[in-house]
Amino acid sequence: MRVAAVTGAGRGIGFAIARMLVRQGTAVVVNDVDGRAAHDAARKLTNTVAVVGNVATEAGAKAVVEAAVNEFGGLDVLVANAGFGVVGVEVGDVTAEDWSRVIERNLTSQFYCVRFAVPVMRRRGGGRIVGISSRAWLGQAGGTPYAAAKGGVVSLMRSLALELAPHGITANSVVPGSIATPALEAMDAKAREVLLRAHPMGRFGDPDDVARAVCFLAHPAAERITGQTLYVTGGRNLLLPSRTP
Amino acid sequence: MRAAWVGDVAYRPDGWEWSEFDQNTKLLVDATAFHSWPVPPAHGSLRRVVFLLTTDWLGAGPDPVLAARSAAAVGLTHSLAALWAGIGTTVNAIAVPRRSNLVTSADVAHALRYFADPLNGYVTGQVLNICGGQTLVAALTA
Repeated sequence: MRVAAVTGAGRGIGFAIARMLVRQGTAVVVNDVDGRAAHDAARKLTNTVAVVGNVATEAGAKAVVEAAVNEFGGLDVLVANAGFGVVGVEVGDVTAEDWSRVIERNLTSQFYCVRFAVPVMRRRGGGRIVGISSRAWLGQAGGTPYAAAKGGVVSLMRSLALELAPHGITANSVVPGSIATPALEAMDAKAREVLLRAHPMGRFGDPDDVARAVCFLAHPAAERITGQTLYVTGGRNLLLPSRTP
Repeated sequence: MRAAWVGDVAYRPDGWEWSEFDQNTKLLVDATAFHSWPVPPAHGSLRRVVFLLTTDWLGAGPDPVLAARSAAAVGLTHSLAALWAGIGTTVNAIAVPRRSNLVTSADVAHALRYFADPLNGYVTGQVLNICGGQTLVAALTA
Protein backbone atom coordinates (compact mmCIF):
# COMPACT_ATOMS: atom_id res chain seq x y z
CA MET A 1 0.00 0.00 0.00
CA ARG A 2 1.24 3.47 -0.85
CA VAL A 3 1.77 5.85 2.03
CA ALA A 4 1.42 9.63 1.94
CA ALA A 5 1.88 12.45 4.39
CA VAL A 6 -0.09 15.66 3.95
CA THR A 7 0.75 18.69 6.07
CA GLY A 8 -1.89 21.27 6.89
CA ALA A 9 -4.54 18.62 6.19
CA GLY A 10 -7.02 19.60 8.87
CA ARG A 11 -9.18 21.66 6.55
CA GLY A 12 -9.49 23.29 3.15
CA ILE A 13 -7.07 22.30 0.40
CA GLY A 14 -5.02 19.97 2.60
CA PHE A 15 -8.06 18.02 3.71
CA ALA A 16 -9.26 17.67 0.10
CA ILE A 17 -5.84 16.30 -0.87
CA ALA A 18 -5.84 13.78 1.97
CA ARG A 19 -9.39 12.72 1.13
CA MET A 20 -8.60 12.12 -2.55
CA LEU A 21 -5.43 10.17 -1.73
CA VAL A 22 -7.41 7.97 0.67
CA ARG A 23 -10.06 7.36 -2.00
CA GLN A 24 -7.28 6.18 -4.29
CA GLY A 25 -6.23 3.60 -1.71
CA THR A 26 -3.37 5.48 -0.08
CA ALA A 27 -2.69 5.43 3.65
CA VAL A 28 -2.31 9.02 4.82
CA VAL A 29 -0.62 10.79 7.73
CA VAL A 30 -2.86 13.77 8.40
CA ASN A 31 -0.89 16.61 9.95
CA ASP A 32 -2.15 19.92 11.25
CA VAL A 33 -0.99 22.40 13.86
CA ASP A 34 -4.61 22.58 15.04
CA GLY A 35 -5.14 19.40 17.06
CA ARG A 36 -8.90 19.33 16.78
CA ALA A 37 -8.79 19.86 13.00
CA ALA A 38 -6.20 17.10 12.58
CA HIS A 39 -8.16 14.58 14.62
CA ASP A 40 -11.50 15.52 13.02
CA ALA A 41 -9.99 15.11 9.56
CA ALA A 42 -8.46 11.75 10.42
CA ARG A 43 -11.76 10.55 11.87
CA LYS A 44 -13.62 11.44 8.67
CA LEU A 45 -11.23 9.34 6.58
CA THR A 46 -10.22 5.70 6.73
CA ASN A 47 -6.66 4.44 6.89
CA THR A 48 -5.21 7.61 8.34
CA VAL A 49 -3.32 8.69 11.41
CA ALA A 50 -3.39 12.20 12.85
CA VAL A 51 -0.17 13.94 13.80
CA VAL A 52 -0.60 17.25 15.60
CA GLY A 53 2.34 19.57 15.29
CA ASN A 54 3.96 22.55 13.65
CA VAL A 55 6.04 21.44 10.65
CA ALA A 56 7.84 24.79 10.71
CA THR A 57 9.90 23.18 13.46
CA GLU A 58 12.31 20.32 12.90
CA ALA A 59 10.61 18.27 15.61
CA GLY A 60 7.18 18.77 14.03
CA ALA A 61 8.36 17.75 10.57
CA LYS A 62 10.27 14.76 11.91
CA ALA A 63 7.17 13.55 13.76
CA VAL A 64 5.17 13.50 10.50
CA VAL A 65 7.71 11.32 8.70
CA GLU A 66 8.21 9.07 11.73
CA ALA A 67 4.47 8.49 11.94
CA ALA A 68 4.43 7.34 8.32
CA VAL A 69 7.23 4.87 9.02
CA ASN A 70 5.93 3.65 12.36
CA GLU A 71 2.25 3.39 11.43
CA PHE A 72 2.43 2.39 7.77
CA GLY A 73 5.99 1.15 7.19
CA GLY A 74 7.40 3.95 5.04
CA LEU A 75 6.62 6.99 2.92
CA ASP A 76 5.97 7.26 -0.82
CA VAL A 77 4.34 10.67 -1.15
CA LEU A 78 4.98 13.93 0.69
CA VAL A 79 2.52 16.74 0.12
CA ALA A 80 3.94 19.87 1.75
CA ASN A 81 0.85 22.00 2.02
CA ALA A 82 0.93 23.71 5.42
CA GLY A 83 1.17 27.49 5.28
CA PHE A 84 -0.76 30.69 5.56
CA GLY A 85 -1.07 33.92 3.65
CA VAL A 86 -0.62 37.51 4.71
CA VAL A 87 -1.79 40.16 2.26
CA GLY A 88 -2.54 43.85 2.33
CA VAL A 89 0.67 44.93 4.06
CA GLU A 90 2.99 47.33 2.25
CA VAL A 91 6.61 46.30 2.31
CA GLY A 92 7.62 49.19 4.55
CA ASP A 93 5.22 47.95 7.20
CA VAL A 94 6.43 44.34 7.14
CA THR A 95 8.34 43.71 10.34
CA ALA A 96 11.32 41.40 10.55
CA GLU A 97 9.22 39.13 12.73
CA ASP A 98 6.41 39.04 10.14
CA TRP A 99 8.91 38.22 7.39
CA SER A 100 10.51 35.38 9.35
CA ARG A 101 7.18 33.93 10.42
CA VAL A 102 5.81 33.82 6.88
CA ILE A 103 9.00 32.34 5.44
CA GLU A 104 9.19 29.73 8.20
CA ARG A 105 5.58 28.63 7.94
CA ASN A 106 5.41 28.56 4.13
CA LEU A 107 8.91 27.64 2.99
CA THR A 108 11.14 26.40 5.81
CA SER A 109 8.41 23.95 6.82
CA GLN A 110 8.60 22.34 3.38
CA PHE A 111 12.39 22.09 3.61
CA TYR A 112 12.18 20.39 7.03
CA CYS A 113 9.62 17.85 5.79
CA VAL A 114 11.68 17.11 2.68
CA ARG A 115 14.86 16.67 4.68
CA PHE A 116 13.31 13.96 6.82
CA ALA A 117 11.28 12.37 4.03
CA VAL A 118 14.03 11.92 1.43
CA PRO A 119 16.10 9.28 3.29
CA VAL A 120 12.92 7.25 3.86
CA MET A 121 11.93 7.53 0.20
CA ARG A 122 15.40 6.54 -0.91
CA ARG A 123 15.13 3.37 1.14
CA ARG A 124 11.84 2.65 -0.70
CA GLY A 125 13.54 3.14 -4.06
CA GLY A 126 11.69 6.32 -5.00
CA GLY A 127 8.95 8.73 -4.10
CA ARG A 128 6.89 11.77 -4.95
CA ILE A 129 7.22 15.21 -3.40
CA VAL A 130 4.60 17.84 -4.12
CA GLY A 131 5.05 21.35 -2.77
CA ILE A 132 1.99 23.57 -2.63
CA SER A 133 2.98 27.02 -3.87
CA SER A 134 0.61 29.84 -4.78
CA ARG A 135 -0.13 32.01 -7.78
CA ALA A 136 1.23 34.78 -5.55
CA TRP A 137 4.74 33.59 -6.39
CA LEU A 138 4.40 35.39 -9.72
CA GLY A 139 4.30 38.61 -7.71
CA GLN A 140 1.79 40.07 -5.30
CA ALA A 141 1.53 43.69 -4.23
CA GLY A 142 1.00 43.84 -0.49
CA GLY A 143 2.14 40.28 -0.03
CA THR A 144 5.90 40.36 -0.43
CA PRO A 145 6.84 37.82 2.28
CA TYR A 146 4.18 35.35 1.17
CA ALA A 147 5.03 35.73 -2.53
CA ALA A 148 8.73 35.28 -1.80
CA ALA A 149 8.07 32.19 0.30
CA LYS A 150 5.88 30.64 -2.39
CA GLY A 151 8.47 31.48 -5.03
CA GLY A 152 10.94 29.71 -2.81
CA VAL A 153 8.73 26.64 -2.92
CA VAL A 154 8.93 26.55 -6.73
CA SER A 155 12.69 26.91 -6.61
CA LEU A 156 12.98 24.29 -3.87
CA MET A 157 11.02 21.77 -5.92
CA ARG A 158 13.05 22.43 -9.08
CA SER A 159 16.29 21.95 -7.17
CA LEU A 160 15.02 18.79 -5.54
CA ALA A 161 13.98 17.50 -8.96
CA LEU A 162 17.51 17.83 -10.24
CA GLU A 163 19.11 16.43 -7.11
CA LEU A 164 16.76 13.51 -6.51
CA ALA A 165 16.09 12.32 -10.08
CA PRO A 166 18.84 9.66 -9.85
CA HIS A 167 17.01 8.22 -6.85
CA GLY A 168 13.61 7.91 -8.52
CA ILE A 169 12.14 10.76 -6.49
CA THR A 170 10.18 13.44 -8.33
CA ALA A 171 9.49 16.93 -6.98
CA ASN A 172 6.88 19.26 -8.42
CA SER A 173 4.96 22.37 -7.43
CA VAL A 174 1.21 22.84 -7.55
CA VAL A 175 0.17 26.46 -7.82
CA PRO A 176 -3.38 27.15 -6.68
CA GLY A 177 -5.10 30.38 -7.58
CA SER A 178 -8.12 31.56 -5.64
CA ILE A 179 -9.69 28.45 -4.17
CA ALA A 180 -13.10 28.42 -2.48
CA THR A 181 -11.99 27.77 1.08
CA PRO A 182 -13.35 29.24 4.33
CA ALA A 183 -10.59 31.87 4.15
CA LEU A 184 -11.81 33.09 0.76
CA GLU A 185 -15.45 33.03 1.85
CA ALA A 186 -14.53 35.24 4.81
CA MET A 187 -13.42 38.01 2.42
CA ASP A 188 -15.38 41.22 2.05
CA ALA A 189 -18.10 40.66 -0.58
CA LYS A 190 -17.02 43.57 -2.77
CA ALA A 191 -13.37 42.51 -2.72
CA ARG A 192 -14.41 38.96 -3.59
CA GLU A 193 -16.43 40.23 -6.56
CA VAL A 194 -13.43 42.20 -7.85
CA LEU A 195 -11.26 39.12 -7.44
CA LEU A 196 -13.77 36.95 -9.26
CA ARG A 197 -13.69 39.28 -12.28
CA ALA A 198 -9.96 38.51 -12.62
CA HIS A 199 -10.79 34.88 -13.31
CA PRO A 200 -11.49 34.11 -16.96
CA MET A 201 -13.48 31.04 -15.98
CA GLY A 202 -15.81 33.19 -13.92
CA ARG A 203 -15.49 31.06 -10.82
CA PHE A 204 -13.12 30.26 -8.01
CA GLY A 205 -11.44 26.89 -7.87
CA ASP A 206 -12.56 24.00 -5.74
CA PRO A 207 -10.21 22.31 -3.24
CA ASP A 208 -10.73 19.11 -5.24
CA ASP A 209 -9.22 20.82 -8.30
CA VAL A 210 -5.99 21.17 -6.34
CA ALA A 211 -6.28 17.65 -4.94
CA ARG A 212 -6.66 16.26 -8.47
CA ALA A 213 -3.44 17.99 -9.56
CA VAL A 214 -1.58 16.63 -6.53
CA CYS A 215 -2.84 13.08 -7.12
CA PHE A 216 -1.80 13.31 -10.78
CA LEU A 217 1.77 14.22 -9.82
CA ALA A 218 1.86 11.77 -6.89
CA HIS A 219 0.78 8.84 -9.07
CA PRO A 220 3.32 6.07 -9.75
CA ALA A 221 2.84 6.69 -13.50
CA ALA A 222 4.15 10.27 -13.14
CA GLU A 223 7.72 9.06 -12.78
CA ARG A 224 9.14 11.29 -15.54
CA ILE A 225 7.29 14.43 -14.57
CA THR A 226 9.60 16.37 -12.31
CA GLY A 227 10.53 19.97 -11.60
CA GLN A 228 7.25 21.14 -13.09
CA THR A 229 4.96 23.92 -11.92
CA LEU A 230 1.30 23.00 -12.37
CA TYR A 231 -1.12 25.91 -12.21
CA VAL A 232 -4.62 25.35 -10.82
CA THR A 233 -5.82 28.88 -11.41
CA GLY A 234 -8.66 28.68 -13.91
CA GLY A 235 -6.43 30.53 -16.37
CA ARG A 236 -5.94 33.59 -14.17
CA ASN A 237 -2.20 33.52 -14.70
CA LEU A 238 -2.79 33.87 -18.47
CA LEU A 239 -4.34 37.32 -18.34
CA LEU A 240 -2.27 40.30 -19.29
CA PRO A 241 -1.71 42.77 -16.44
CA SER A 242 -3.88 45.36 -18.18
CA ARG A 243 -6.85 43.03 -17.85
CA THR A 244 -6.24 42.17 -14.22
CA PRO A 245 -7.89 44.42 -11.64
CA MET B 1 -0.36 5.20 -29.67
CA ARG B 2 -3.74 6.76 -30.40
CA ALA B 3 -4.48 9.76 -28.27
CA ALA B 4 -7.97 10.77 -29.38
CA TRP B 5 -10.13 8.30 -27.60
CA VAL B 6 -12.45 10.09 -25.20
CA GLY B 7 -15.93 11.05 -26.41
CA ASP B 8 -16.12 14.81 -26.11
CA VAL B 9 -12.40 15.38 -25.90
CA ALA B 10 -10.55 16.53 -28.99
CA TYR B 11 -6.88 16.58 -29.66
CA ARG B 12 -5.59 18.74 -32.45
CA PRO B 13 -4.83 17.28 -34.85
CA ASP B 14 -7.07 14.29 -34.47
CA GLY B 15 -5.88 10.76 -34.98
CA TRP B 16 -2.56 11.35 -33.30
CA GLU B 17 0.07 8.70 -33.89
CA TRP B 18 3.19 8.64 -31.80
CA SER B 19 5.26 7.82 -34.87
CA GLU B 20 3.94 10.92 -36.63
CA PHE B 21 5.24 13.30 -34.04
CA ASP B 22 7.20 15.67 -36.24
CA GLN B 23 4.55 15.71 -38.90
CA ASN B 24 1.88 16.60 -36.41
CA THR B 25 4.00 19.27 -34.83
CA LYS B 26 4.12 20.90 -38.23
CA LEU B 27 0.36 20.54 -38.67
CA LEU B 28 -0.10 22.24 -35.36
CA VAL B 29 1.83 25.27 -36.57
CA ASP B 30 -0.11 25.30 -39.81
CA ALA B 31 -3.13 25.75 -37.58
CA THR B 32 -1.68 28.99 -36.26
CA ALA B 33 -1.68 30.21 -39.85
CA PHE B 34 -5.44 29.55 -39.99
CA HIS B 35 -5.12 26.84 -42.63
CA SER B 36 -7.04 24.26 -40.68
CA TRP B 37 -8.08 25.65 -37.34
CA PRO B 38 -11.68 24.79 -36.44
CA VAL B 39 -14.31 27.27 -35.41
CA PRO B 40 -14.44 28.01 -31.70
CA PRO B 41 -16.10 25.19 -29.78
CA ALA B 42 -19.77 25.54 -29.06
CA HIS B 43 -20.56 25.55 -25.38
CA GLY B 44 -20.89 21.99 -24.15
CA SER B 45 -19.33 20.28 -27.14
CA LEU B 46 -15.56 20.58 -27.08
CA ARG B 47 -14.44 20.77 -23.46
CA ARG B 48 -10.85 19.56 -23.41
CA VAL B 49 -8.12 20.37 -25.90
CA VAL B 50 -4.66 18.91 -25.41
CA PHE B 51 -1.76 19.75 -27.70
CA LEU B 52 1.19 17.46 -28.00
CA LEU B 53 4.41 19.20 -28.83
CA THR B 54 8.13 19.05 -28.24
CA THR B 55 10.27 20.73 -25.62
CA ASP B 56 12.01 22.51 -28.50
CA TRP B 57 9.85 25.52 -27.51
CA LEU B 58 12.50 26.20 -24.86
CA GLY B 59 15.06 26.68 -27.59
CA ALA B 60 16.74 24.24 -29.93
CA GLY B 61 20.15 25.42 -31.09
CA PRO B 62 20.61 22.92 -33.92
CA ASP B 63 17.12 23.56 -35.31
CA PRO B 64 15.69 27.03 -34.65
CA VAL B 65 12.80 26.45 -37.07
CA LEU B 66 11.52 23.55 -34.99
CA ALA B 67 11.94 25.67 -31.88
CA ALA B 68 9.88 28.43 -33.42
CA ARG B 69 7.14 26.02 -34.46
CA SER B 70 6.96 24.55 -31.01
CA ALA B 71 6.98 27.97 -29.35
CA ALA B 72 4.12 29.02 -31.62
CA ALA B 73 2.11 26.12 -30.30
CA VAL B 74 2.78 27.32 -26.75
CA GLY B 75 1.47 30.77 -27.64
CA LEU B 76 -1.58 29.13 -29.19
CA THR B 77 -2.15 27.10 -26.04
CA HIS B 78 -2.00 30.14 -23.77
CA SER B 79 -4.17 32.27 -26.01
CA LEU B 80 -6.88 29.72 -26.71
CA ALA B 81 -6.96 28.85 -23.01
CA ALA B 82 -7.66 32.49 -22.16
CA LEU B 83 -10.11 32.85 -25.06
CA TRP B 84 -12.18 29.78 -24.22
CA ALA B 85 -12.00 29.81 -20.43
CA GLY B 86 -15.34 31.59 -20.25
CA ILE B 87 -17.13 28.71 -21.95
CA GLY B 88 -15.46 26.08 -19.80
CA THR B 89 -13.14 24.65 -22.44
CA THR B 90 -9.63 23.96 -21.17
CA VAL B 91 -6.59 24.07 -23.46
CA ASN B 92 -3.35 22.50 -22.28
CA ALA B 93 -0.17 21.14 -23.82
CA ILE B 94 2.20 18.28 -23.18
CA ALA B 95 5.77 18.76 -24.35
CA VAL B 96 8.27 15.93 -24.67
CA PRO B 97 11.88 15.83 -25.86
CA ARG B 98 12.10 15.17 -29.59
CA ARG B 99 15.15 12.97 -29.44
CA SER B 100 15.00 10.92 -26.30
CA ASN B 101 14.31 7.37 -25.29
CA LEU B 102 13.51 8.58 -21.82
CA VAL B 103 9.83 9.39 -22.32
CA THR B 104 7.40 6.64 -23.23
CA SER B 105 3.87 6.70 -24.58
CA ALA B 106 2.70 5.55 -21.14
CA ASP B 107 4.13 8.75 -19.63
CA VAL B 108 2.23 10.83 -22.14
CA ALA B 109 -0.95 8.79 -21.68
CA HIS B 110 -0.94 9.51 -17.94
CA ALA B 111 -0.81 13.24 -18.59
CA LEU B 112 -3.39 13.06 -21.36
CA ARG B 113 -5.84 11.31 -19.06
CA TYR B 114 -5.33 14.05 -16.48
CA PHE B 115 -5.89 16.94 -18.87
CA ALA B 116 -8.76 15.13 -20.60
CA ASP B 117 -10.59 14.29 -17.37
CA PRO B 118 -14.10 15.79 -17.56
CA LEU B 119 -13.75 16.74 -13.88
CA ASN B 120 -10.50 18.60 -14.49
CA GLY B 121 -11.99 21.92 -15.50
CA TYR B 122 -9.80 24.41 -13.61
CA VAL B 123 -6.39 23.73 -15.15
CA THR B 124 -5.91 25.57 -18.42
CA GLY B 125 -3.06 27.12 -20.37
CA GLN B 126 -0.58 24.71 -18.82
CA VAL B 127 2.44 23.53 -20.74
CA LEU B 128 3.64 20.39 -18.99
CA ASN B 129 7.14 19.27 -19.90
CA ILE B 130 7.55 15.54 -19.49
CA CYS B 131 11.28 15.20 -19.64
CA GLY B 132 12.56 13.64 -16.40
CA GLY B 133 13.95 17.04 -15.46
CA GLN B 134 16.05 17.47 -18.61
CA THR B 135 14.64 20.92 -19.40
CA LEU B 136 15.00 22.40 -15.94
CA VAL B 137 18.14 24.30 -16.81
CA ALA B 138 16.12 26.31 -19.34
CA ALA B 139 14.88 29.53 -17.79
CA LEU B 140 11.40 29.49 -19.27
CA THR B 141 10.08 26.26 -17.80
CA ALA B 142 8.45 27.94 -14.79
